[in-house]
Amino acid sequence: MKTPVFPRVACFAFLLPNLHAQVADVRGIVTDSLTNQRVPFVNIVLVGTNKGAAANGVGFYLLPSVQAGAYEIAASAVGYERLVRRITVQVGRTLELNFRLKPTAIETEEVVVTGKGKKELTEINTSIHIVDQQELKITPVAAQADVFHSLKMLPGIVSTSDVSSKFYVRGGAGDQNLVLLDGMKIYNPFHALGIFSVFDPDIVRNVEIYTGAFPPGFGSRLSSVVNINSGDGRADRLAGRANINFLSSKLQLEGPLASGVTWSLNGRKSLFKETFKDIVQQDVPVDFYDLFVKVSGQTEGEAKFDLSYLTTADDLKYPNPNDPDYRWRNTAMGLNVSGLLSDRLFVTSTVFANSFTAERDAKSSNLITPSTTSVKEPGVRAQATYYTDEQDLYFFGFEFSFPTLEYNLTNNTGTRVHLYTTSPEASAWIRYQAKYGRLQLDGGIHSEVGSLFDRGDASATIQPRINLSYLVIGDWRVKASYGRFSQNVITVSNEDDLISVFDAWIEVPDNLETEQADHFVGGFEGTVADRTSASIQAYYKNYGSLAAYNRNKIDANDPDYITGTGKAYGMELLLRYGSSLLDLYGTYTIGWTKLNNEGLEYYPRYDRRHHINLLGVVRPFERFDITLRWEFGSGFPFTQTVGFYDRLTLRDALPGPFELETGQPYNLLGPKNAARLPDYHRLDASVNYTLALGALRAIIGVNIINLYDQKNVFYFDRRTGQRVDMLGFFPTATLTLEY
Amino acid sequence: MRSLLKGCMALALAMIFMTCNHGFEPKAEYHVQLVVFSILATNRAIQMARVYTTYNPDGINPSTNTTERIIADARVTLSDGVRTVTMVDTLISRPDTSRYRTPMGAYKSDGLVLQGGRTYTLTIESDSNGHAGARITLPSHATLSVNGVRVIESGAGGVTDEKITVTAYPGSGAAGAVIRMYVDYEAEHFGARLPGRVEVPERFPTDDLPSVETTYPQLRRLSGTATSVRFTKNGYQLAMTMALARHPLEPLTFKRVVFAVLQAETNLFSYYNIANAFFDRGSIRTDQPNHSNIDGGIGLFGGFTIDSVSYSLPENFPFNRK
Repeated sequence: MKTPVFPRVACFAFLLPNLHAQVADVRGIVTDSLTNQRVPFVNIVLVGTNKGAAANGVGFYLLPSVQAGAYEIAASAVGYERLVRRITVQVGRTLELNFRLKPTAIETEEVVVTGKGKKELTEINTSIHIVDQQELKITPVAAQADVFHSLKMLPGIVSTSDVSSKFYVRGGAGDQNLVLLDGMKIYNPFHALGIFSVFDPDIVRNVEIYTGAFPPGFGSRLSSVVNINSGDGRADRLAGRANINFLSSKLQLEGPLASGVTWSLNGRKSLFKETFKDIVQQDVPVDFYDLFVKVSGQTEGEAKFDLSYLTTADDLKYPNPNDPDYRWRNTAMGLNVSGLLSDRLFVTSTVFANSFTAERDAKSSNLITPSTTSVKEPGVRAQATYYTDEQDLYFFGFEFSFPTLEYNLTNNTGTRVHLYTTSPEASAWIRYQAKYGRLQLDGGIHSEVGSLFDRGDASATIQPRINLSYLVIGDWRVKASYGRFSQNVITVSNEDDLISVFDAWIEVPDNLETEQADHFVGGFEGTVADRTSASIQAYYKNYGSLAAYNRNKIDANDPDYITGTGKAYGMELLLRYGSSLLDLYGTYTIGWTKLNNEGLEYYPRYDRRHHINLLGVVRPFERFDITLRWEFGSGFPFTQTVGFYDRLTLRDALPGPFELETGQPYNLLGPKNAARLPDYHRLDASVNYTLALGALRAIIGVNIINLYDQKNVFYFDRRTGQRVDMLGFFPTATLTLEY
Repeated sequence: MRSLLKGCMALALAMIFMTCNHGFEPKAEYHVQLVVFSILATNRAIQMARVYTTYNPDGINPSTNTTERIIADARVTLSDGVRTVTMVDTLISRPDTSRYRTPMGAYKSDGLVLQGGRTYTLTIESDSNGHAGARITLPSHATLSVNGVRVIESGAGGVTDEKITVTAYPGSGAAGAVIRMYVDYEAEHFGARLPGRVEVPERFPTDDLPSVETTYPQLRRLSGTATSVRFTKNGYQLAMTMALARHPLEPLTFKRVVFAVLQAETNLFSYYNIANAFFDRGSIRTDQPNHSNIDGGIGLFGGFTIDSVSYSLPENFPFNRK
């Protein structure tokens, strides 16, 4: 029988562990026996009891108040052999027990289908997906695996094109996704044209994706969180990996630096210019590189530090003087320190600084104007986890940052406009996780304090968030979530553009409320048959305030933007089957998104009614796999042209003869986004073979994108009438060498 | 397992064949619409209306349309509620022939004297293109007050940043107004006296502020009972220098200074701003919205009134050139 909530809360308030019972804590870290890297999310269970815990993101676990006695304790995780050890717990003496898990042979892993150790089946949150490096690499992509392309397999996530990593989550706009790398915010995580994200899958240990109702601790965005945790360098030896394919080449090195300190370095460089011209007869003058460096250190105990540095650069330079050039730069640096502050208090803190700059050089273009944008944000974030006697968890923390946003443009009047804002963002949160029999609870309050000081906006300041999960029968759970979210920075681009190459970040204009949304999610999930799991979820998002074009703007006295509203709702189905021979993964999403701008209701351009993803991986022989992926998406909305007329500017008509002006051709548009582009579908295939040559491992791969050469519309240029299709039939080959 | 594989293959193939390449039509079904532009002006005896239609070229590039779709069979009327006049069609020589080479089609009315505060209705009926119309009310008359008459008469010398403040008290129905200052002159050209007019700028570059652009008063929204603008003696002198530069050799006599307030009714005010990027130098919007008040068509039926006061300049005005 568990104690009622109030005494448990009171116990937390005084941070008093139970000192008088015949108990002691068991705690430690979990590492990989080969590489000595920390292993996150490992299940730790006292065999024969109902006592267990999951290791946190840095491999630390704590089993509080274990009754004195002898036990068997087991550690298990996907990709590792289960390890069981015998322990004796003595009264009042905390037992420090570290696990070194042995990896399983990679050929026998079930890389796609959720194993029993996977976190998301047991996680209380309705809308979380955890994707590890193996899963990121399995999705067929254009030549090279990509983090965001793989995420688009998940239900509720769509993108508007093949050649873009930009994504839209459950009807949210593209700027409503919080992207974190080791705690550092990355404002523009896309390489030029979005073909790749700036995160090479080889630097990623795992990615947590919250598609809705995310817990306290994550804020400042309305729709989703992509929390990327990078892997540490190997501690046992120097290792390397080199890869070359039609679009890019890369090199990864890692190894020990000193006792308990490791390093890793990962660099990529594009080869677009040469290959696109040869293969698809398109001149794509794209150049990019990215570099990620990480130094990690750990003590004999739980303490750990990570110093991460990411820099990326993109250049899009067209030879035609009438086509504008673009430049992007990202730089981010962060220091993470984690460890026990007291017996039951585990603290993780991050100091970070990031910078994003972009420039559009109009060159001789008459249609495009020059523009620059930048975001610079130093900040600090800290979160503490407190473990109670009842195995409940309290999380509390804060984040404080100083984003400086700058936007320079030449507007339609020909005037150079300079927007510069800097205002501190501050948030604090408290979160509580507990289990009451079959019911699990994860709830708390996230507070965006900055909104209160900046705008006096109380509704956005206090944000309740709760996740409930009830074990109904077998492993079938029913789940429900609610959360309130706010956002204070947005990107600006022409709402009617189908592709936006240049996104500028600005603060939500002063005359508007902070953007705000409420998420409601409910669903079931569990096992439907042997090796087959299923999940069905329904979501409803109410956008209480969104920055929207002021349709009634007449002159400079009227603001550019006003407060609009919106709603998004839908259902998602996910089915997974896995065996050593075959993995199958299928998702179906049906969704509606509608925005309301002072009575005008319309579908945004990323509203997709039906979306299907099917993925199959066959491993007929050892070290050989074949992957097929088929995606179907119903057409995105767009606005049709209904004719043209010659519109007079009346420049010389006040006073003057207006009738002498011929006028400029004006594109008359029909109802906003009332028509639909054709449906999208595409089949991709890849074949990979792994060769072991002594200490060297070679992976040879052939990918075919758009196997049946479907003509999917990318965008349509209203000025020229040019239809541009997405990637057609596109074969690529890749060679990876690992040491 | 084999049956499962076969099933998956069959499902995939079925999906592929179910969905073939679809066509894409960026244009909706085209329906021709009347385009009407007419701006009633109290400073003109003849009122004009341009009437043409939308167009729909093959493809999507509007510059391939090389003929203006003039409506010649329309019956266009203008009414003040008491009297209705039929506007007659006419052709106007096109000043800019870079796009269309044919003369411009228009309808003109003669004999209807406009009055501020009165409501006017424009109707267009075309057998081939249907009918359209709109109604507006012209603003009633404004009054002007000028502070700084002494500066006007002295012209040269003295303190150059002295101000001339002009205040307009708008009439009802005005959404926006612009106050302008003109200097009228006569230039002698081979014995003939040619009248001319220059406008006085509101802002202009100076030695202290060389980067300032020369700007003239703009149409501004009316929000109170009065609106005013300040001109400087420097600007006044600059305008007269510009007039002298236009006629570098001829004798030139400055005759008078005219202050005029133009009041635009709501539709003209809105259209004029929206079609010109809101005249918002601080805007970050990149869209170009449409605006129309024509029922059954597209375009603008608007109007403005002009009220003015003038001050004669002395014969020995120092800027005159003998």
